[in-house]
Amino acid sequence: MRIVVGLGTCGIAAGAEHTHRALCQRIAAAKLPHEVVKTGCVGMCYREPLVEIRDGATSVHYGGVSVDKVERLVAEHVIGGRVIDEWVVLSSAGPAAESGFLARQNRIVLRNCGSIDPERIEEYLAVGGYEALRTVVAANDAEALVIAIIDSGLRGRGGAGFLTGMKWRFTRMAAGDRKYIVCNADEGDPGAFMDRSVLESDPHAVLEGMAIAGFAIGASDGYIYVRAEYPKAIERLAIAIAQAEERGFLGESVCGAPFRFRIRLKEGAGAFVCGEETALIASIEGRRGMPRIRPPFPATRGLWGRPTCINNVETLANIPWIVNNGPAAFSSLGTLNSKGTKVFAMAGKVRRGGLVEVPMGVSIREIVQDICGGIKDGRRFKAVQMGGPSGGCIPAELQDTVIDYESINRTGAIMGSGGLVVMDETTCMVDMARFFLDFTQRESCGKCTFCRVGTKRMLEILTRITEGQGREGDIELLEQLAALVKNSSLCGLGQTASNPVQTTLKYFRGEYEAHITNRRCPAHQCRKLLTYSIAEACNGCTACGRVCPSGAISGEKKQVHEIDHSKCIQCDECYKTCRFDAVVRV
Amino acid sequence: MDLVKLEIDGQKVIADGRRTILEVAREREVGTIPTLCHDGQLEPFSSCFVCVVKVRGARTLLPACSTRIAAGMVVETNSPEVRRARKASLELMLSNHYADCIGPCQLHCPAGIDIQGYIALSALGKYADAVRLIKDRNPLPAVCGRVCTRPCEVRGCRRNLVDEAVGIDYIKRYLADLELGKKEPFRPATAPANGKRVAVVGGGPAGLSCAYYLALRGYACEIFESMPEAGGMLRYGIPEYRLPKDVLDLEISQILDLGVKLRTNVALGEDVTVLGLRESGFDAVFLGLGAWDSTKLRVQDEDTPGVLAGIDFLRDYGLQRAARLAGRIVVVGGGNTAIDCARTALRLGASDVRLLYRRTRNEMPANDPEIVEAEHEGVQMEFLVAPVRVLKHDGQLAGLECLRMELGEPDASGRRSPRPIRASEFMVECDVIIAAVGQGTRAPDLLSGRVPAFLPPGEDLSLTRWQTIQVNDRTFETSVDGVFAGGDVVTGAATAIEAIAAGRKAAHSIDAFIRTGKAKPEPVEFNSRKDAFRTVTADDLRDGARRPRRSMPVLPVEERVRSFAEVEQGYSLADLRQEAARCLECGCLALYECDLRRYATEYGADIKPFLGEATQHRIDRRHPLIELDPNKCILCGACVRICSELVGVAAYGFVNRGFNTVVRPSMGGTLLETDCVSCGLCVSVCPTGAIVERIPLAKSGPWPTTSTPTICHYCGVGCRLHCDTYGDTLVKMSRREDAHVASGLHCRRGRFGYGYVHDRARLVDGRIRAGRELQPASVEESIAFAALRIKELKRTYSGAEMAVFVSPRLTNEELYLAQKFARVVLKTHQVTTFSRMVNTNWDCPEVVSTATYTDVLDAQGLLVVNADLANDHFVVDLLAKKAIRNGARLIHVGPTSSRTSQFAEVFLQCEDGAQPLAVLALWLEWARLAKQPLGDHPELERAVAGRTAAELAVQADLRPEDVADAAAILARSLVKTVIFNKDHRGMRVPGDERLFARVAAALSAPILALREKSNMQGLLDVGASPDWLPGYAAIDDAAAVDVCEKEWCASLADVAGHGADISSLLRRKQIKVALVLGEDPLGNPDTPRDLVEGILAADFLVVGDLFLTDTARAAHAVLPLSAHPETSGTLTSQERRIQRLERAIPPRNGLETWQVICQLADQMGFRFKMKYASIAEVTEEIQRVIPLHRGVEVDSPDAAGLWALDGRGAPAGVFDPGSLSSPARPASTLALDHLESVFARRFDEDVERARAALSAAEKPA
Repeated sequence: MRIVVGLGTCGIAAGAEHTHRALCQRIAAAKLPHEVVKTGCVGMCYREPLVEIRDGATSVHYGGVSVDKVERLVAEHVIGGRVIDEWVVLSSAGPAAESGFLARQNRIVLRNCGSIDPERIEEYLAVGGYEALRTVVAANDAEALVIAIIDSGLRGRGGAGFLTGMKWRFTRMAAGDRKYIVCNADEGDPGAFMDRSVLESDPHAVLEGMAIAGFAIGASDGYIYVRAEYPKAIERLAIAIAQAEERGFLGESVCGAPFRFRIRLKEGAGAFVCGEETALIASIEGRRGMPRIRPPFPATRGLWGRPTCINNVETLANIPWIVNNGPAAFSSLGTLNSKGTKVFAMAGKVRRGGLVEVPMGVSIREIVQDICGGIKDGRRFKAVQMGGPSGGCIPAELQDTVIDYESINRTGAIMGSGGLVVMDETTCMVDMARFFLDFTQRESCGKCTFCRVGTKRMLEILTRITEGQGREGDIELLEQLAALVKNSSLCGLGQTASNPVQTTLKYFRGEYEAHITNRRCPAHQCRKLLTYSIAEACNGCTACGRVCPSGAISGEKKQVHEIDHSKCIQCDECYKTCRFDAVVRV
Repeated sequence: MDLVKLEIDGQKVIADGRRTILEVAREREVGTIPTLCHDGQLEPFSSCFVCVVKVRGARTLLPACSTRIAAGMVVETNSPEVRRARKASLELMLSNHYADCIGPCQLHCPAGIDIQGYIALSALGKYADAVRLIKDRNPLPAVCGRVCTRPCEVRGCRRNLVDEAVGIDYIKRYLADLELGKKEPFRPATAPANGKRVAVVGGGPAGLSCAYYLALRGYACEIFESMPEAGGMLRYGIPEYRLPKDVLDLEISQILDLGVKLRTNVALGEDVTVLGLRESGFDAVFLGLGAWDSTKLRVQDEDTPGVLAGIDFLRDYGLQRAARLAGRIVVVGGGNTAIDCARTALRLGASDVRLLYRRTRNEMPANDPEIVEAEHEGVQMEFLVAPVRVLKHDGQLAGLECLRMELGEPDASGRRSPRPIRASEFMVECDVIIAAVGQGTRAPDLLSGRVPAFLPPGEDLSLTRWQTIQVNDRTFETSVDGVFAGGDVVTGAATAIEAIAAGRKAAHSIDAFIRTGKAKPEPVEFNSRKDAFRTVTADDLRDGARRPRRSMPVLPVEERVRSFAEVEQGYSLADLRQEAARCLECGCLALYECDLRRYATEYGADIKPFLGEATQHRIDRRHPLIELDPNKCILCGACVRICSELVGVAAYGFVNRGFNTVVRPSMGGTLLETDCVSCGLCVSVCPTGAIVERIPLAKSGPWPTTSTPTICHYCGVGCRLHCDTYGDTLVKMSRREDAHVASGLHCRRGRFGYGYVHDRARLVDGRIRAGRELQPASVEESIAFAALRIKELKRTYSGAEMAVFVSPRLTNEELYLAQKFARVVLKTHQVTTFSRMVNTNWDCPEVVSTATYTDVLDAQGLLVVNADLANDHFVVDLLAKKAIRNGARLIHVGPTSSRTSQFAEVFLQCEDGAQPLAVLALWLEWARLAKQPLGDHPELERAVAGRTAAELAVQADLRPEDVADAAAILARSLVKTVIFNKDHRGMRVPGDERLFARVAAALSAPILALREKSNMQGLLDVGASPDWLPGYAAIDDAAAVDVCEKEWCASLADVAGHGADISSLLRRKQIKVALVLGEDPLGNPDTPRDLVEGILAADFLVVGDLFLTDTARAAHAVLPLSAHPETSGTLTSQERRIQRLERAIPPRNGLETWQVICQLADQMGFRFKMKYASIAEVTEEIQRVIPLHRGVEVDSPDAAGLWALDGRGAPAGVFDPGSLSSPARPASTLALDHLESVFARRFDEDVERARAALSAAEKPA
């Protein structure tokens, strides 16, 4: 019997390390022969800490295993052999509470996530790891490899969706005696965590993908540009690199062949814009992360002026699978122009938040409603924001849109790196646009006038709209600025910064108008536009009166309280305090 | 090269496909592409997005600065879409540009006079220039200096936040009065007559101003004035004690002097009509009729005799019609006219003058100083009183019945309106009532139909509802074609300055109307205003120290009330200076260079559309030369990039992200704490005023300067610069951009080293020795004295006992004339420079550059020996670094590490003096790698003397493998250039330059032989040597002698001193007559003592210099020379490039140096042989005499500007291998001419002082 604890950052955040320690102690104390092992994230971040108990061919996943549940788990299941049904989330024996979560997924990128121990190369090897690299090096035909990747139809998963094989080909054909492969692990979109999870749960897959890419383009050096905010990923990558070097999968002679390939880690200092290729290169070179105009593309003039291929984590993690299973297996999944699968980080008002990997071509409805179990608290599905701050919102009416690059683009959103934030009727779309713009505005490198000042001005307009200071003509000014910023910025950050504003204006213009004309927030979220009152449900507990900083609430004990609107500063404290839902926001 | 065809704005262009749209468009002069972030010396950056263009087929607009051209591209550079995007970009930048373009004083001046500019000129004592600047906008400064209501001071001056406004108007009056007092006051240049005629109806301020500015443009103007004299309200509305009529007369006469005709006693509607004027051939008519109608009191019995209208009263007085006035006078009103009436009445003899005003003193529209003076003089003021009824007694005026008032709510104008208090009637007894409650125009009378055929048939002159003439407020066009109007007749009674402004603006519009048929408003420049962002407070100001305003001296009250003598007496010079110093200089120093403002104007950008939060930073004035104002930064990064990419210092960096991004000195401190070398390139590339030079003048303008091309006179690089001048004032040096590879580059000496021109210690006249003392003398006297004495001594001494010493910083023309003076006048070949004499051992004149800067830039391998490029030849350092960025590899040979060695791929740090050994080792190793035979270079073989490369390396204290590495680099570089400094002052081997030149030849590399001084090459070329004639012709070369003799009309047969060793003559004290031009051997501590004594032993020593140097102090006659910006001529750079400098300002000594030399010859009797009408004649003569100069295109940035080598030059010297073992240190020659040592000392002192101030400020209090 093996007891497997999910120790991705999501698990750790939920207390999985304590669970792990308690399990180890308990098993040791009971002098049981069972192994307690670590793994990464299986994707069900909403039920962490997850503990899997494997016994031969059977497997049971328990969700929400906090330290206090360890005793019973060991006693009943490990020692007693009785499955604790009420805690089971997944089971090999049959349907369980969350079976639906995995049922419709097709896991290529996440194939090993949550099943192997990311810190032990043996486990990766045991599931066929580095076979693809061995095959490629042995075949020694870089051109055939590039063609295979082109044939697979794999497109860059970082967001723009450029055909990966073509990118390899350009770099391969570029003149230069020294070339680089760079893994872009600077995942910066708020709400996106696919790359982190892959790096934490299956680092060797990325290393293998890089080595294969390096072989294809003729590079002997690779860099992984990873955010410093991902300490666990960095730690596990460093371990993986050391192990791979030790086993000869990286180093002077990869798999014994005359192919030298080394990988270095470069920690990014948390600038969102460094996810942009040219800024990323500047950052590795030790300069300020500022994008430059392309062309020349990195494929011809990249890191240190040499041909450089930059691929995203998810893209690279696909590579070994494609090599092992053949391009046809990959391209059989998906739609006409979008092949394979895509991983989404589900966040927001959805019931099951976590990582899902689905074949291209499934609809947003399937992801949100079927896989993720719909909206929390029985609220109404309103929209998804796809692609983070660079993306756009897709309203619920368009939830049958299928996941492929072109279909998503048609809505005004972008596929992006895979962040999918689900919103319900309590989300104010103006505020949502403001939130994302605030992010891009802060993260602009400051170079291009439109991005630096234009986004700031847009933010100011959005802020004043949400604060009830919107003016006649603000919508038109926003539209004008949005178009200017989009058209007159050097890099993707600026070119896409307007997307959240433009798509919300497209689908939810009425909400903007309500804010400006009626001074009302239809989602009851913009505090400055709310009127607070206390309903009959008030039982006079006086809690609201005690937290009110402006003394606006009065009322006798056990009597319905009242709010003096002239004093109310819309701080929302009473609303948050009331345990009887008696405070009403209108 | 990959040529592609494309189309820009409909024009077909073929160009190199690697270039960008911007480069191609600029080079071919097609299209209009502005840019703020691009600089020719830098890689494209594309941050400002002002350069966007439309490329057909592209999804978005593209930045032209970084978009490469492509075949078949169709580019639009100026379509409405493109212009809109540019405007938006500018407006976004301006929405975060917390800065003032011009001071608020100028903004508030209706005429927009450059107040900061004229105050700054006043502070420099440039009074005439100041008047010129004022008259650009206002032809009546003396008048306005007296009567202006001063919105500039009252509302504009920020000094009000500290203490009181600067006395702007009083300064103006001082300047204007000074000018009026001159025999020949400033008369502006007028355009040639254009044959067009304009009728100006009304000779008041509007009409006079209109006529003045039209006359400047070449129009024939005729003023039709209804009164006996011109001046309008200025004459007939403003009393004498405020504006003496002679002042008015003088300023009017200056306008009439421009050819403006004045016809008086001609009234519109009576003597002429608009129709009549048009029929008599006037191309346009300007109506400046004023507002001469008095508003009635609107009270009962107003028409009683003794009730006068204020304006009529003043006019009658002005016409000398007003009788003496006796008794009690009541004046009703609170404006300037009311005050004028009251004070005039007092002066006419009234016993008692009361002024009644219906609001309080605070609401009085009259100028405060006027009210105060009226009170002093005894005018009694009663406030909150309104007239109700004129009281009569027997039909005679007896008094005025009044009501008391109280103030109610503020009305539309913001003033609290008065309300009568019930039953508060009271009576004021009086003999005369003067009603000064307002004025209207008489325009309705003219249009009433009373005047037949007043307007052209079918046309109608529209009036406003206030019965003033309606005009287009920007073009001043009335509803009648070709008829314009301005001043009070349009605005109703207003101020003189508004009328003057209207007249000028109308003149612009009329000019456009006559030339193009369409009136066009005077262009309005964009102005950024701090006040648009937030209210400026005292904390924002440059200087918060309270220094009260100088008060205007006034006539004592007892003296003035009985006369019409002018009350205000005017500032003294001391007042003016103090007051000028109080100016806070609110306007931007980069006003006239700012690209942001230029484009904002061009694209009609405004601050407002995107106004929001703006970042605000403190201005950093801690560096002595450079001022940083991050508020004005547009984040183009040009400073960051030029400093890191080109200079390699990285003194600036971007800090923060998003909207808060800002450029700051690296590590956030001051520039002084960075590695800043103060080259000033950041100032040069900054497109706005974010980085400006701190001009070393009492006040630094800004002024609209003129740029004159010049050549830097410090080192031999020959940087091309501009002298920026206003009038006769050198304001600064700036970059000059052209096609030369070093275009726009300079070091700190070139950019900041011009302060000596303004130095008070400059010699502006001569000196003559009288006994032990040097006595001041005029330039002419000192020349005459020197000539007389030399002439006398010529009888005693031969040419062999005379010598001329010249500075290698003089121009080719000056040097040529000096040698000609020596040979023709003094009959001696003994002409040389101390710069060569102090280091005779190291002097190899035949070693000249065979390389140009292009060779440095194009090289794959650079060998730098004996040169600290960054310190001595900064621009060559920049070029070398640029070459390195392009892939060149640099080897540096020298004993000490420097910035150059830091950038070197191999630094061969040898023992001091062993550089020749290192170079020889390098050559040997290279020859081995490149498989080159050694035998072709016997001279080098002799120097090697059988040693191996390794042995030589060890001898030079080098590791042989380093030498091998360096040699490998050379062997792998196809294109190489060798650089060394001929004037290197470390340990050296005599004749080492010859060795370096030979090694370079063996490597097939051209050499760049660097020079310490700007024209050492030219000095040798033009023959300032006893060893050769101009152009290195041997002195016995018959053909050359023949050319010289013919050209100079003199025989050279009897010229002594051929090939003389002048230093030994000096040592033996055999030089009896010496002329030293621009050198200071006595002031240079490195000049050998015996040479100094040799000079002092001369019977007669003449010194020409800019300063009274140590040598000049020892002279018998001292002649003042002209400074560089005061001089015209040519200089020959170390590249062999002959470059022109033009005189930018007149010499302070009155003569250019070349003229001093010629006059000296003239005084010695050579009246024709050295007589030239202009410097061009000298240049032409040089070209005739010196074959080297023939066919050289002076100032050409490419190969045509170099004198050709092809075998010419001085005979080659031979390297003596024996000298290898005896290195020594040459003497420094920098202090030989005053400038460099002065600049270096000043610079060091300034930086030291700034650092001290910084550390003092940082110490905790």
